[in-house]
Amino acid sequence: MNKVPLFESLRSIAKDIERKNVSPVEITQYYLGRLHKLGSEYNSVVTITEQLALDQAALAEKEIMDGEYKGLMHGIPFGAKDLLATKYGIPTTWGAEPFRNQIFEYNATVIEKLCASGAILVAKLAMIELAGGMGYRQPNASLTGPCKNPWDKNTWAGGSSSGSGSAVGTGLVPFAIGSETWGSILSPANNCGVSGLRPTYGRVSRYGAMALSWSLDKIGPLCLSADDCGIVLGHISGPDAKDPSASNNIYTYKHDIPERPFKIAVLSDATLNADSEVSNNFQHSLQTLGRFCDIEEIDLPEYPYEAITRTIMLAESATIFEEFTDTGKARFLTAPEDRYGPYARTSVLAKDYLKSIRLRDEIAQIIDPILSEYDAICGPTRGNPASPIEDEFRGAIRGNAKDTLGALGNAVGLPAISVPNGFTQAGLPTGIQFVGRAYAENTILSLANHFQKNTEWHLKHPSELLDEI
Amino acid sequence: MGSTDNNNEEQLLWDQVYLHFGHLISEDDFENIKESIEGIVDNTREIRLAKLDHSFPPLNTYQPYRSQFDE
Repeated sequence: MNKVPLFESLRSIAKDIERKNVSPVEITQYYLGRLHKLGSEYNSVVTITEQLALDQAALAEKEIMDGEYKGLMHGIPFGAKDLLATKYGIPTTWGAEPFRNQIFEYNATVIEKLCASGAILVAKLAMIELAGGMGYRQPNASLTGPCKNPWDKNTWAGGSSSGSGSAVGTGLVPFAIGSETWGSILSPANNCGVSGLRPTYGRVSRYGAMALSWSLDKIGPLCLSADDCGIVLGHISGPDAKDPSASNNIYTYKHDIPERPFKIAVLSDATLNADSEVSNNFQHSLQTLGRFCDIEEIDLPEYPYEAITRTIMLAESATIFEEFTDTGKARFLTAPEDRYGPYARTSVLAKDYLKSIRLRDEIAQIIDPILSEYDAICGPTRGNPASPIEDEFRGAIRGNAKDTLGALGNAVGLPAISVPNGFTQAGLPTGIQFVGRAYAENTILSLANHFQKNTEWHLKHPSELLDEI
Repeated sequence: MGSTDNNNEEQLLWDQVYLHFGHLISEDDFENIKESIEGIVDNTREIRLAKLDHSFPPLNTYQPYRSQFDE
């Protein structure tokens, strides 16, 4: 191979493929090699889809040699969180022992769209069992064991899209698809030092994705940069007759929004419960943002944001997993707390769930005029860096750290992107998130792009993983 | 709602969970589930204390045949 694609941007890899400097087969074999070598070391892979990948790569190579280049995704390998259905006899485990041998006869729409664009599925990636919906409190809540952080194998990759974050951060795939109900894209992006985009609710079809909470679930990319996230979103979004919640809005990624002063808001209590190093990195990021943004401090209207989001998730997951719970399958889950978690949530009362939905509707109406004054609200992605892999990371129900932006953004389905913004003394990455108006992905992507043009955090990679370059 | 009412609610909810799932739950997990129910009751208390703005219309999402008849 003329050029090793490790930690290269999607545009760079695509350019090399289009110019025939590298072939899709060579690139696919390269990433398959890394998946075999490092996947089990980091517990980030469930299934390496080797034969499918080689077949798809051979087809892509032929198409390109025949002059049928399809665009930026053509010939680029990717990994998918193992809650996205795949046919071809490839298991879709949902990260959970009871579903270890689950086979679907169809592909999730996201997989279909990417493969139709010429992208190559090389792996189904590790995840927290049942997307973390059963109340897990520890990294070892997965069929494949605790997923390890690219920056320190003694710390956690985050969840529930653990493998998607870790595999991108360790260079096992150029990009990955994850999903978020509350924090499951942004948390691994934060912990693994990669960029993660949670699209607007409805922007991406969820057909073929495991449902945890139908009014909260979103699917989005984890990549090496905001620009890569925009490129992938452009290929996975759009209407889908198989998913009535998928928006009819057509999305086109525009990475060339003209430079202008952005206007961003920061919550007055943004760093209230954050670690001091997270807080310091966030303050440095605000200084960087100050070069091209007007920054204002704001307070959000008083609502129990976290209680609302939690109640909706508990109630919806209780009904989605009704049969699973009734048949006692929870006893086969990995984490002890996941084995009893499904039972307690059946006690959420209908009136509390419905009031949460009504409050959410009210918040959606109230928050949009506030957001319309700004390009984004920003804050630390998480209040702390990755935690030790053996440790519990939150309390039984309520959690430890306040996550107002996460609760609000997920409750009303706002888009958000997390990008790396520094490191701790221990060498662990921290992240900054930008939350935008519904369907304003291009605005927050543009902001994140500008941030990344002014910083180099996203260009740093663990030194032991660079040896092969 | 006072703490006594909370305790009563937690007990009632536990009774309901036990009634439905007692045969599936390990005795070792009884206290864990009660603790989870306690968290859920604390959580929903925040929902119950939140004031709805009644100038917003209540949800009316049940319109299963509207699109057909609109045509």
